[in-house]
Amino acid sequence: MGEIETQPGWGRWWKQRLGTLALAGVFVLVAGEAYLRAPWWPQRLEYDTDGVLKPDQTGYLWLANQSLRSAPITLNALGARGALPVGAHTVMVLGDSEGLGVGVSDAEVWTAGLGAHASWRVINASHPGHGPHQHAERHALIQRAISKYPNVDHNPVTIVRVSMQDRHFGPDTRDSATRRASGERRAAIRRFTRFLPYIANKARAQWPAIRAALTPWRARVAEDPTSAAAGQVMWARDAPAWRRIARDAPGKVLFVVYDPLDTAAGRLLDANLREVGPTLRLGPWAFDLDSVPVAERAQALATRLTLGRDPHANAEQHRLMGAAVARYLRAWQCR
Amino acid sequence: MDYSCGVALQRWTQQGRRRWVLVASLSTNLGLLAFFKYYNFFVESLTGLLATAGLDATGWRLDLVLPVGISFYTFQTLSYTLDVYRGRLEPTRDPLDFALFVAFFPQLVAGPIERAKRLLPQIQRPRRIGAAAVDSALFLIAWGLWKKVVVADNLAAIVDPVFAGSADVSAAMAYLAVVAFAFQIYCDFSGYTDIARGLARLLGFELMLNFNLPYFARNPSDFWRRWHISLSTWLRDYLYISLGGNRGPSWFVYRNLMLTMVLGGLWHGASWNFVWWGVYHGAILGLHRFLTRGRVVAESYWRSARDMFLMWHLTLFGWLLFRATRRVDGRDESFAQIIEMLCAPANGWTSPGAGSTLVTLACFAGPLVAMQIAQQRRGDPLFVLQLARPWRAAFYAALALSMMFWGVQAGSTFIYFQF
Repeated sequence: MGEIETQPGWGRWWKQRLGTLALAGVFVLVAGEAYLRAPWWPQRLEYDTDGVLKPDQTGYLWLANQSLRSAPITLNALGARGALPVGAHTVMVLGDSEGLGVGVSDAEVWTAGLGAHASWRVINASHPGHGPHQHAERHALIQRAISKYPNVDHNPVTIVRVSMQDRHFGPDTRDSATRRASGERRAAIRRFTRFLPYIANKARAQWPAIRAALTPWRARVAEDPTSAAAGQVMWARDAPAWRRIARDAPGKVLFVVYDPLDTAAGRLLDANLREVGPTLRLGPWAFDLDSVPVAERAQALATRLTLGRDPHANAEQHRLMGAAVARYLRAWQCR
Repeated sequence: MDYSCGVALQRWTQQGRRRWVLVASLSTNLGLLAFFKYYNFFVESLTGLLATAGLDATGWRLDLVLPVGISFYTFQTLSYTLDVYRGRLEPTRDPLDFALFVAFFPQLVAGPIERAKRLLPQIQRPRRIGAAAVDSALFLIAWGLWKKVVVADNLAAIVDPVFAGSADVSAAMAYLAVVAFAFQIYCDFSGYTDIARGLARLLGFELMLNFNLPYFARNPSDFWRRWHISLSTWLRDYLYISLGGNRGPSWFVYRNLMLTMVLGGLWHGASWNFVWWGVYHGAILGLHRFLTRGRVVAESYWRSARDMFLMWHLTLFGWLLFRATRRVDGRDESFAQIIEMLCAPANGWTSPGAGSTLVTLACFAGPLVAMQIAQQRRGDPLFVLQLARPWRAAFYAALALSMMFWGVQAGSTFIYFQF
């Protein structure tokens, strides 16, 4: 007679598995906390309670937000990337993580190319996850900070990097006291634990994907972010922020529209932004994609000009962007 | 179509009629597969041929959307009709059962290619889900997900730039990229299979094992007993044996091996690199058969290690043929890419990024190799479930943490979805 395999009942099974799960949870909490605090592991960018990027003691940071791993990012006392620029002939750059240069080193970021090609000093005030409304606030914040440094150019040229990624970041409607309280609360939590906020951010980042997966496909609204309609929606929402930057800037303002795939949205934004200030649209020509058939451009961009599976720009794309903007600035100077 | 053919094959006893039913089923299935998957490939090859004679046939190409998982479920339904025809399987009368067999969601898009003989009875009988099955299912899902998001997707960052031609290719980088691809494709495909098997097990179904530590293979035959088992056994049972198998004069056997492997390569996709990959595996299988005919070799630790090392490198060369798919301005430059990668020492033996690439590769592939050595030594892929509770909890915690900190969440698809 064969051996009879006995299995525990479901009640006992649940009890045993909950024990294992609890133990695994404890291991995860302890190891996760240790990982995020260990000095030799990449650290996340830190923020002060106003939401400004903050250098650590060494002024030398890494970014390990979500699954992104970045080359080291040097922050100066303004909370902007790179050394503090001293002297006239300065540009201030406002953009998102692409503008900041997540994934590439300080020497490779496109704003370093502006210095190399056009002899400009650069305050790269870009910030991951920022859109036009945050740019407008950050612009005012950095302008105020600059005024404390007599050697820094107080009338920089402002470059605003515009891309369709900006559509994800609308205005923050909270007042400054609420935001500050929220920042202080976050800072207090992070003094106690870094891992739990990390998990919470991850869950929040995954939630839209989970919700989309649970939505029946018929109910989903098809949105083409490259369409003129999407560009129009973004223009209607963000035009006040761009106008505010142009109004408050002490020097000239240039809008750089990032549009390597030559989209209807990019063309529309470029045309509309000309009402606000001069624009430079970085189309396929800026990325050596002119010779690539239109249908293959997205693939070429993804394989040649990004960080592999991470869609951020690689060093080559930054070099091309820097060179294109520098050419424009040189011509601008000549005019 | 296949459901009706199954019913007709059961009803009709005359051999002539039965043969016509089989022909109808085969031609419909293979016709659809050929049209959707291979039409443009043959047209492009023909266009190239005609262009050399000064003829223009460029307008024949069609913009076709490949139906999801067509290669997988075509083979699955073919096995159904063939088994019914051969009298090895009782056809189902219930169209819903048949539909579930063809479109069973966990394995629909990338296998394993299930046989009707295995899956249909499981669909037809009541299912009981035991606690042990849930344990192993959860382990398989977690392990498969880890292989995909931590190992495969991170190694893609090494592989893609080298094969896209956007990185400097020294000998070291070329070698590391091919090694990384070997781990990437294994973790990507076997990760999907593990998740599919785990999901099916949660629903009370048992899908077949598709990978059995393939990089521990000691020779080409052994490799194909361990890699994509559901495809290799399908090809063996329905193609190789139908062609004559091991019977007949030896050249006949070599021919059967080559034909089977070429068609197996072509199954992966309509591209010459898959054909060459199939030819290569047919050739090394034939060579192995020739070299080992009538020989009995004593087992030893060192002999096994040597054979594994040799087979690993033979497999790597196969992956180079498989992955080199460079296209420039619409032109296929895969052959030129293979030559460039093989001649990489001309660009120098090493390059500045090779050291950090090696460290990255070791960090992601190392834990996988350690786990697989443990699985091989214990002879049980699910040995973790037998460990004491603290070790099991530590294992799951390590999986969870590494997925959180290093897992790629950029939404990359599985490589085998394209097939």
